[in-house]
Amino acid sequence: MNIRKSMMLWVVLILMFTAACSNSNGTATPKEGVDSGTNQPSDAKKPEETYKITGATYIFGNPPPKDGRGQKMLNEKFNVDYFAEKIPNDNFVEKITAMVAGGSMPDQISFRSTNMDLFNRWAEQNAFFPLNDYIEEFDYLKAIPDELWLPFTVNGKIYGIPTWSPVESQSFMVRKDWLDNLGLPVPTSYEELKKVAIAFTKDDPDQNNKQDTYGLAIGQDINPTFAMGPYWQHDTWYHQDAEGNYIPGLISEGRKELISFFHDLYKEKALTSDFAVVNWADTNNEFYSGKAGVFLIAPRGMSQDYMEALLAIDPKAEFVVLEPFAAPDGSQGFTAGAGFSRFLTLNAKLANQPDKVRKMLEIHEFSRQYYQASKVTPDNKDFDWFYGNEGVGYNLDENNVRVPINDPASGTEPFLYFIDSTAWIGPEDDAEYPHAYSEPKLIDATQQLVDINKKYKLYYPPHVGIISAKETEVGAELTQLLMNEQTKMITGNRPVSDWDAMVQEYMSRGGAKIIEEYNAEIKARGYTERLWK
Amino acid sequence: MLKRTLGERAIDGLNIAILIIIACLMLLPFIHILSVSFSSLQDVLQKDFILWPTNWASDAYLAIFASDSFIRSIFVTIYITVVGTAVSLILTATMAYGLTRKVLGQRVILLMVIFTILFNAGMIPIYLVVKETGLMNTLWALIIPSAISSFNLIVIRQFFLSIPNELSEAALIDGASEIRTFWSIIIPLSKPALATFGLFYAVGHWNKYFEGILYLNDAAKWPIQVVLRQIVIMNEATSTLGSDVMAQLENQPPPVTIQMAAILVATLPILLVYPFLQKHFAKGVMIGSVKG
Amino acid sequence: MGKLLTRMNREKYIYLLLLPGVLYFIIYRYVPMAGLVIAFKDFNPFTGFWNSDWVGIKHFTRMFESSEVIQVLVNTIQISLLQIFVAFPVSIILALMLNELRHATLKRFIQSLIYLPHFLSWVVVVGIFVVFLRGEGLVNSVLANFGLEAIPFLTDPAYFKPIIILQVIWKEAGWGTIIFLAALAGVNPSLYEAAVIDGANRWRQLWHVTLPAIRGVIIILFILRLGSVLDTGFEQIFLMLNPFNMDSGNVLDTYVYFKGIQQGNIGFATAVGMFKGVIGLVLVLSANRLAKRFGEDGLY
Repeated sequence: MNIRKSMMLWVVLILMFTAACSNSNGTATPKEGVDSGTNQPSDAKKPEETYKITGATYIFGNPPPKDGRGQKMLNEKFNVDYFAEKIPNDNFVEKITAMVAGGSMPDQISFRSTNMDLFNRWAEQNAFFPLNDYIEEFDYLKAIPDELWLPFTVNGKIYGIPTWSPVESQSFMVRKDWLDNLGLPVPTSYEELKKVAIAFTKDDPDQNNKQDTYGLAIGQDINPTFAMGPYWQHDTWYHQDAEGNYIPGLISEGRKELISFFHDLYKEKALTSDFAVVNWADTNNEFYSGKAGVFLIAPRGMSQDYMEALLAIDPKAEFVVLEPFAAPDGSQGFTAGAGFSRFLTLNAKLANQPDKVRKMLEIHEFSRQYYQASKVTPDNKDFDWFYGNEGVGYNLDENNVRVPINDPASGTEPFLYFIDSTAWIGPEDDAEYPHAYSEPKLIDATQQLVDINKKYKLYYPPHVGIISAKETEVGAELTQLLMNEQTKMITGNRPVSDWDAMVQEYMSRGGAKIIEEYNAEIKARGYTERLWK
Repeated sequence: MLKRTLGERAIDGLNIAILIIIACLMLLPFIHILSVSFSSLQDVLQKDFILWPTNWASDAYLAIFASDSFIRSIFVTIYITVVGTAVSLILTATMAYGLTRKVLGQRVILLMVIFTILFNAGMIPIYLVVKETGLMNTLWALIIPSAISSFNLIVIRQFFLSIPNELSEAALIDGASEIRTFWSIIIPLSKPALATFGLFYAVGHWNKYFEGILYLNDAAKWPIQVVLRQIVIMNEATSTLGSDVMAQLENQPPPVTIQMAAILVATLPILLVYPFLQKHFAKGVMIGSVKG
Repeated sequence: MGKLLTRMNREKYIYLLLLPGVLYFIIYRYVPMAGLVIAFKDFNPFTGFWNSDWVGIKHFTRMFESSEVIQVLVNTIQISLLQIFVAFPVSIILALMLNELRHATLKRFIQSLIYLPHFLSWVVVVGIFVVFLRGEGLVNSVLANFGLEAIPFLTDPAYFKPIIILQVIWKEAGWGTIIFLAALAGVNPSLYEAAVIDGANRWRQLWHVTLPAIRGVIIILFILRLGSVLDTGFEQIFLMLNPFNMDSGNVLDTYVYFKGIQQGNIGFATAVGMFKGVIGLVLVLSANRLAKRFGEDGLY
């Protein structure tokens, strides 16, 4: 009796366990865990082999389930067994590393632009498939500008395909209604911006007879940067030292000017108080609650919810976007973005399967088409299919802008299932940033930013995509050190006159080596004069 | 019960007062979260700290329940929690009881268990074992590899040890087997402990997210905590020093009202477990079963 | 030999009970431990654990290369000791207070409320504390109403450790009571009856009946906590750190994060874990020996 009872217990447990195992083996789709190099023998009857294509990429938000309508449509259209796993962004690197260590590196990986050091390390291990011979075959690859191939070229071989992201710069928006109430002009220099910020703090710009407003919304790690050009920007390489070597913005003369500007504002309480402990979400709140008068605006990704909340709090709010300030060296303009936000790599084991590679690139090309809203109709077959058919996956509004019908988690639309659905917007195309919103004031502000970006040349910094061994080792630690010391300088806990000592510490703890390594690579690339275009 | 003195009553009163104040302090954030989730975004932005919504709004909840992924993942998590807690409790209780008996190798096994509290093998080796044992992409990957908590095992063993030896010895002398003794003497006497560690395991399973990300490739199988993390800004702790403003902007999380509603909906089911378990914490469990 | 076999035969059911657990520990805990070898290697996912290059104790020396490390270890141990000797007893006291509550419904109600904060993530908890403690936060507004000067709770290093402990108590003290309440539930009520007949008042009952009943659990928990003396919790401290309190708040976990854990250096992370484990092992073994000398059961 007792024995039977206990034996049954264990039998049940063991059954559960084996069920788990067999379940995984039985129902597992052939996608997982299979070495990408191996391939099923082709079926002679079929005109074309049905390739099994595995992939992995990162995602913000929640992806659709594996077996959605869009996935089936994708597999049918291209006659493939396609799967791109979407990994939550925060744990992307960990999981992808585990997958590789487990011997199941997928056929394709779409990395984040922040994974460049991982890319370089893996490229040195010959993990990726060289794409040099295929670029001429595909129009969408030919369209990629030469400088964007540079970061993905290792020992002459191109291992990555950059995915478009705006080169247009962000800027800062100022409460126009407050400027008008105080009779102030739109600031065009830090001197004027300082006056505006102080007036916003002391002169009751919203005319409610309360001291409840101030100038710049800023949070921990001195974010946003309020850099009105590359001269002041901390995360670009613009300044040069006495020997002509480029140096990081964080230790430059321009940054020092900016820090003393912040210090002056801090003394006048024209910056977010306690900014060193305010996180990014709360920094946003400072502006969108109508307390601060100056904040970041970017060409895309602004939150319409927050803008609408601000307009509900203060319906009279108006915004003007700042143009870049003229720098002491005569330059005026913003810094270009890297031009790519993600990049695709193929598995080196595809070397003896050129047809599969072509298939993958064909699918990639398709998913990267750009459909300008003004030219779109449901009759455009590719567009209609990509977004899951009119009336099922999307509807078009009066401006001909696509409005999805379902939550992405329903998996109705094929575009959700591609490893990379970021359209390539060429230099001649209008990216239509304002189309992302429906709130008129947000549309207007975005349009102002787009116009400013058209008006000025952009600075193309020399450091994009360079990996320095020393930086990989100590870079994060040193950046943190500089941010901390500069925060103390803004609050007056450390005098700005200590700047040179701070730079010296950076240099001696590895900064000098980082600069040396970067400049060797910059010279090798042939970048000498600062590039504006 | 004997009559209580005035002094004792005063102490009782003080005790109650202090406990009520503490309870209120601990309830405060939940009321805050509840109120934010039912407020409009502009109210939340305008006020420093919301304790009760001025204008009730249920938009946040509509937004959450409009998404398939949230509901689906709650059911996944309930499944993992129920099955996982059962598996964990059975494995832990049997092993813990086995370790109360001084058999050959008992000390070695105990030391082996303690060692695993201090040294963690690390993510990738465990990933490889999970893969080799065929659990990848199944919900079992969230249950089996973390089935026994060494900490719980040690403490539950301590609970078993505190049961007077005479009880089990008497049973053994009566001719009951070890397993019978375990089943009909130890288990009934350990209800409070089993309820406690059942709760610990249930909460542990409910809060699983990293295993979900690591071992599952189908979002339809994701547990609630993974889905929640994709809604709420949890990556604050790994911000990239402000150099990644573009990424921060392009991946704006939903408004704070929706985030708070998501936290609440994802936490409420597990919060309800404890009040139901409380009857097992009543006094007199031991005396009752001895007499019975 | 024959004796041994008879003994093992007699105890075969116990082995049967132990078997599944032992299998679990071997497969899912001990097989992966072989991976600890990468503490001495430069891990390369393409060549795997065995074929990655040996680097000796490079990862360990990296941990100790900078002069800050002394201050970091001091901070870590200070915060850890505060957690052990301040936050841990709060749970016990709270459990005893609950145990003294005669009103059963009220007792259950309060129990179900005080364990709530445990379920909030540190991001949310720290967020709420910042709202209260900022320079212009709620606490300072109240102070200002009384004409008092604002207190820089978040930026003055002197407040860092007390606030960390306060947060830990607020978030985990209620949760911590559960285990003690379970132990208290096992106390035989006749012991109290006997004590009352002996004329013991409430304090003496507490001292002679209640506390001895949970002593075993307290000691076990204490020894186990000593094993993680270098773990102070990463997320909370990371979120509370800022440029002004960095010197007094930087602990081992945050220090190694800045040093390279964030870049996914798995070898380094493993080395740090191993260092913490060795320290923990020494403490656990000594504490256990000490407990046994005082006649307690100990861990094993």
